[in-house]
Amino acid sequence: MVTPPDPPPPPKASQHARPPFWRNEVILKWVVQVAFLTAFVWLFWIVVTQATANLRATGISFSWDFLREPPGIKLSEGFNTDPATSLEALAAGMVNMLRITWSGIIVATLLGTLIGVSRLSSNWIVSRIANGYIEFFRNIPLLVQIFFWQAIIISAFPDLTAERAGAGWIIPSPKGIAIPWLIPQAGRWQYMALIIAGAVIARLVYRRRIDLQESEGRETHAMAWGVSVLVLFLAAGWFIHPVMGVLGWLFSALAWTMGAAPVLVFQILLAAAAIWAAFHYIKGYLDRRRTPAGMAKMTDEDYFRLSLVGVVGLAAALLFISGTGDTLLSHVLGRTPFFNMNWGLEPLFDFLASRFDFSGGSPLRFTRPEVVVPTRFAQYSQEVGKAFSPGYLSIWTGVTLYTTAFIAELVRAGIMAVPKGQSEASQALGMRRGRRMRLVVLPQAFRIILPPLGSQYLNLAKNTSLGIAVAYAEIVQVGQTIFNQTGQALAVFLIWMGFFAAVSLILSAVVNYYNRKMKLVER
Amino acid sequence: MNPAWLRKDFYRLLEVDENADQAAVEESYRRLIGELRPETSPDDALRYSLLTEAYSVLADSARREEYDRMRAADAEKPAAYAPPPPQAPRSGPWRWMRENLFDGEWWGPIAGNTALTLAVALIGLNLSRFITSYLFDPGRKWSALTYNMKLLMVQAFPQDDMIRIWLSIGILAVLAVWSLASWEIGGRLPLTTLMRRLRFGGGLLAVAAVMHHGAGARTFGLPPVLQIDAPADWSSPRVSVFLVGAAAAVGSHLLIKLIRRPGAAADGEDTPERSVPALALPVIIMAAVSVFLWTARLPVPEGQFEETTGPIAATTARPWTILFAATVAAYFLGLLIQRRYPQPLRRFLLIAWFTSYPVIIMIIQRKPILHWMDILGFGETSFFASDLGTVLTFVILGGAAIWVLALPRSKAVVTGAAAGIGLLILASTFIMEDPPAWLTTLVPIGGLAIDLLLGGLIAAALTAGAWLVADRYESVRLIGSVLMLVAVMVWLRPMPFLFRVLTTVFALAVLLCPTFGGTPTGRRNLVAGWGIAVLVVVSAFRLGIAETGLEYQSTTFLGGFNLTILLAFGGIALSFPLGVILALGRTSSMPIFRLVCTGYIELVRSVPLITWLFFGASMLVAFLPQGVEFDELVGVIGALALFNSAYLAETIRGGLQSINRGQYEAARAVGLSTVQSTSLVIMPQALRAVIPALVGQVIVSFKDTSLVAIIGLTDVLLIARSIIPQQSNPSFQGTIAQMMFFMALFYWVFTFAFSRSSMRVERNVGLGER
Repeated sequence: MVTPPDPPPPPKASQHARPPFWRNEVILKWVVQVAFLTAFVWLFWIVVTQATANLRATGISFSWDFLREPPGIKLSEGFNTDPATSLEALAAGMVNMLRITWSGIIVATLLGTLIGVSRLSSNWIVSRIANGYIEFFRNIPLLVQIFFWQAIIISAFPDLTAERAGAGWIIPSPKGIAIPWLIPQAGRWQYMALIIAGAVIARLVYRRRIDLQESEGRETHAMAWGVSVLVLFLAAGWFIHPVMGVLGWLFSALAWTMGAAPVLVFQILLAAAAIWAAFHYIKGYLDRRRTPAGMAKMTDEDYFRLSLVGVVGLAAALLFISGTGDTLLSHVLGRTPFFNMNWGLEPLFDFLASRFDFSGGSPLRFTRPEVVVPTRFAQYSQEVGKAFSPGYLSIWTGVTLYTTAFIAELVRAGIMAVPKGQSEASQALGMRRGRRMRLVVLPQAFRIILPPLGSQYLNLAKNTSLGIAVAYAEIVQVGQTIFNQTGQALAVFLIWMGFFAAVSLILSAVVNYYNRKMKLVER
Repeated sequence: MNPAWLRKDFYRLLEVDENADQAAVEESYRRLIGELRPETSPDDALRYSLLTEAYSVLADSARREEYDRMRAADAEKPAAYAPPPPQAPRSGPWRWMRENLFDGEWWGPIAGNTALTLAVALIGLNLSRFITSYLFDPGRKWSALTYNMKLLMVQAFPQDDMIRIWLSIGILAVLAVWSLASWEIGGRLPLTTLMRRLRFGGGLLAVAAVMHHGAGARTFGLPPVLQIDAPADWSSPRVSVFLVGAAAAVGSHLLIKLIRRPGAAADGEDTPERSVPALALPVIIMAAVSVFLWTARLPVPEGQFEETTGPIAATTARPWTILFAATVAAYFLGLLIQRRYPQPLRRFLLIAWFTSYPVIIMIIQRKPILHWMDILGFGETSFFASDLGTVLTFVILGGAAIWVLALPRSKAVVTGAAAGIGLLILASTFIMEDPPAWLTTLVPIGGLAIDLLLGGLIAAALTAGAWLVADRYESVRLIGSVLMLVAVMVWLRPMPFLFRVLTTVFALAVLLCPTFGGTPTGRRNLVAGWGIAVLVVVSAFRLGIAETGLEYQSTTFLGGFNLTILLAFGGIALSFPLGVILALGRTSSMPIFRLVCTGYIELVRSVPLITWLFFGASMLVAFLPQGVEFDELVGVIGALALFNSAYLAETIRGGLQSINRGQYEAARAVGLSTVQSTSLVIMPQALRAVIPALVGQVIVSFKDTSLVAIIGLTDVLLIARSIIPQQSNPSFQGTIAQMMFFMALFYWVFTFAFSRSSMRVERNVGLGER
C-alpha cells in the first residue's frame, strides 16, 4: 500500500505571479470551509425541525414546563427526598452527585499518592502489593466493581434484627452503614459564614507571617499562627455567630435588585457581550500583527477571517437584541421565552436572606445512629446519626478505588520523571527518606502530574453517573426517571449536558489555577 | 589494547582460520551478518554486536596485529597467572530478604522497614485468607456458573445453531493466530522468566489452599484483616489444588536450577539465555484446557445430556479441540506462507480482518434467508437491478474508469474516459424516477426532458472540462469534483439507497486517483479496493434487509459475551476513521473545521458515556426522519463509536503534535500534495508514536462496553448480575456476589493479557527508544 507515488509533472515554464482563482489556495480553503459550515448548519436545522415534527407527532412538544410540575417520585436519599417539583428533584440529584465527587476526589488523591509512592518503595512486599492493587483495580470495569461492592454490602453484613435495636457507634447492615454525625441546626448558616470569614483571615495571617519569615530570615511559625486563628474563630463562633445575621440585609437587597431588573437588561448585556467578543478578537488579531515598523501586510486569509468574525459577532448581537432572536431561541429551547425565565438567582437570594437572622442557638448537634424496632435506621425518619445507603457506599467505594489506581499510576510516573539528582542531592544534605519525598520529590512530581490528574478528576465526576446502576439518586438516575415519566428526553439530556459541562469547567478551572501557580517561573 | 578482547575468540566467532586474509574475514562477516535478524530477536542482537566487534578488530590490520600479539602472550603465560574469576555476588533467600524486606533507615537501621513489612504482610495474608476462604467455602454455589456458562457466553442463541458460534470463534481465532505468525509478533521469552512465573503462580496457589479459614468468611463480624483462627478441614478439592500448586512450584524451581548450571561455569562470556517463543505459552495453555475438558467432571445442565455430572466432553470438548488443532495448524501455515509469498498474504489478511466483522454478524450468526433468484437476476427483477448485475456493472465499468484515470497517459484518453462516464450518466437518467419538486417548479419542463437536459449538461461539462484543463492530473481532479457534485445531486433525488452510496464511493475513488494511482501497485490497490467496496456495500444492503431464519427469545440474536465482543469490535473499528478525521480537523489550519471539530470533541467528552448510551438507545430515533427505524443495538454501537472517536481524536492529536515540523516541510518539498503528505508521511508516524495510548484507549473501550447492561442490553454482565441470580433454581439464587467475583476475574484476564501482550509488541517494535 505504502508505495511512493510518481513524482508530479514538472512545473510549466511560465509561472504566473498569482495562480488562477480556482487554484488559489486561500480562496479554495475558504470556499470549502464556508460550504462545510453551510452544510453543517443546514443539517442541524433539518435535524431540529425533524425532531420537532417527530415530537409533535407523538403528542409531546418540547418545553421546560415539566420542571415546575410535581415529579411524582420520591428520592431514596439527599437533602430533599420528597421534592415538590422536578427542578427540586434534579437539584437534589445534582447535590448527591457532588457529594460523591468531592469526597471521592480527596480520598482518591490521598490514597493514590500513598499507593503510588509505595509502588516505588524499596520494600519488596510493599511495592508488590501496591502493584497488585493497581493492576487489579485498573483492569476491571468500574461497573463490575460497583456491582461487586453492592453485592458484598447486601450479602455480607449482618441483618438489622430486633436484637440490634438501640443506639450504637458504627452499625453495618445490608441497608447501609450508619455512623455518628453532627446534625446542623438553625444557626448553621451564621456559623458557616463566620468560619469562611475566619478562614480568609487565617489565610491573610499565614501570608503575613511567611512574608515576615522571608524578609527577616527567622522562623515565624506561619502554619501554627494560621491554624490558631482558624481554631479561635471556630471556638468563638460557637457563641457569637448570630452576629452574621447582618448578611441577611445584603441578600434581601440583592434579591430585590434581581427582581426589579427588566428583561431588556439581559438582552442588552448579551448583545454587548457578543459585540465585545468580536471586537476583542479583531483588536487582538491586529495587535499581534503590529510591529514597530507599522502594520504587517495582511493576506487574503486575514481579511476573510476578520470580516467573518465581525459578521458573526454583529449577527449574534442582532439575534440577542431583536424579538426574532428571542422567538428563535424560545423555539429551540422551549415554549417559555428564553429571557423571561427566572434564572434561579432571585429565589436563591430570597432563600439566603430568610436564613440569616440574629437568632441564637448552637449550630451543630452530635448524635449517634439508632436502630428502631421495625428493623431500620432511625435516620430515615428523624435526624440521629448518619446512614449511608448501600447505593451510596457501593458507588463511592467503586469510583474512589478505581480512580485511586489511576492516580497511583500517575504519581509513580511523576516521581520517576523527577531527575534522580534531586533525590540524591537532598540525601547529600542529610535529609531522611520521608522528608526527601515530602519536601523535594513529591512537589516536583505534582508539577508534572497535575494536568493528567485533572482529567482523572473529570473522569471521577463523570463516573459517578454509574450510580444509576445501583439506584443511587444522582442526577442521571433522577433525570432518567423524570424523562420516563414526562417523555421530555431532549430537555433532560440538555440539563445533563449543561450540568456536567459546568462541573467539568469548574474542576478544570481549579486544576488550571493550581497548575499556573505551581508552574516553574521561566526566565 | 583492550584486555576484554582476550576473553573472546574472534577467529572462532567469525568462523575463519587464524591465517585468513582480509577478504576472507570480510566475506565470512557479511555471510554471518546476513543470517541475523537483530531487530526482532534479542539473541541475534547480542550476536550481531559480538560479530561486529570481532570484525572491527580483525579487519583493521594494526588492531589485528595487536590482538594476535596479546593472544600469543596469553598462551605462553602459565595458568597460575590467570586473573582470579570474579567473585560471584553472594546470593540466597536470606540475603534477599535482608535487603528487600528488613532493611531501612527509619527509626534505626532495621526497625522501621521490618515493622512495615510485618504490618503489610499481616494485612495481605489476611486479605488473601479472606478471598481463598470465600472461594473454597462449601456455601459457594459454583454450579450456578458451570450450569449457566452457555447463557453467559451467548445468551439464548438456539441450541441447534450453536455451530454458528463455533464457526465465528474459529474464524477469529484462526485469523488472530495467522496474523501473529505473519506479522511476527511475540518474540521470544527467556525460559527462566517463564519458569519463575510458573514458580510464583504455583507457590501462590499452594499458599492460598493452605490459608483457607475455618469459620465462614461470609460475614464481616470482624474486619477481615484481623481474623486469626484455625484453618479449616482439608477437603478433596483443596488437597488437589494444593498438590497441583506445590508440584508446579517445586518442579519449576528445579528446572530453573537445571537450566542455570551450564551457564554458571563463569568464564565471563555472555552466553545468550535459552528462550522459547512467547507464543508457546498460549499454546500450552490451550492444550491444557483441551485435556482438562476431556477429563474433568463438572455439573452440566439437566435434561440436555444423559448425566448431570459428566466430562465436559459431552458439551464442548470436541469443538475446543478442533479449534486448538486449527489454530496450531494456522500458525504453521501462516509461517510457511509468510516465507513464500509475504506480500499477497498480508493484503489478504488485512482484507479478511476488515470483512470478518460484517460476515460474522450478518451471515454466520444471523442465518439470513436469501432469495437467490432475485440476487442472481433470474427472478422477478431485471438482471441489471439485481445484486449480481449491480456488482458486475459497477465493478467492471467503474474499475475500468479508475484504471484509466489513475494513470492519465494522454489528454485524449482522459477526455475519452470523461465522455464515457458522461454517457453513462446520461444513460442512467432513463432509469431515474421523477425529478424533485423544486426542480420542476424552477424549470417548467417536466419528467424525462429535464433529466435528459441535466444528464446531457453534466456529460458535456465533464468532457469539456477534461479537454480544456491543461494539466492531465488536474483534469482528473476536475472529473472527480464534477462527479462529487453528481453524487450530492443523487442524494437529493428519490432513488434506491444503494445507488446513492455506490455513486458517492465512485466519486471518492476518482478523486483519489491522481493522489495514489501513480504506481502500478497503487493502481492495482485502487481498483481492488473499489471492487471490494462494491461487494461489501451491496452485500451489506442485501443482508441488511434479509430476514433471519433464527428463532431467538430476546430482542436480538446477539447476547452474552458474544454481544460484548461485537460491541467492542464495532465501537472501536467505527470510531477509528472518525477519530483520525477529528484529530486532523482539530489540528487543521482552517478555523471553521477546527472550531467544529473542537466543539464536537469537547461536547462529547464533557458528558458521561451512559448519557450518550441513553441518547443512542432511546432518543436518536426522534432526530431521524419518520419511518427510519433500526435496532436499539445499532444506536448503541453508534453511540459507542461517537464517544470513543472523541477520545481517540485527542490521543491521535497528541501524536500529530509530536511530529517534527520538518517532516511537513520535507513532504512539501518533494512535491507531495496535502492528502499525500498527510496519509503517507505524517499519519503513519503520528499513529506509531501513540501506539501505547491507543492500546490503552482500546482497553478502556472494551471495559466501557459493560455499561450497556444499564440500558438493558443482555451483555455478559447483565446476565451475571440479574438473569442468573433470578432464575427459579434455588441453587442459583443469591449468587450475585460470587457472579461478580467471576466477572471481575473474567474481565481482568482479558484486559491484563491484552495490555501485557501490547507491551511486548511495543518493546519489539522498539517504541520509546527513539
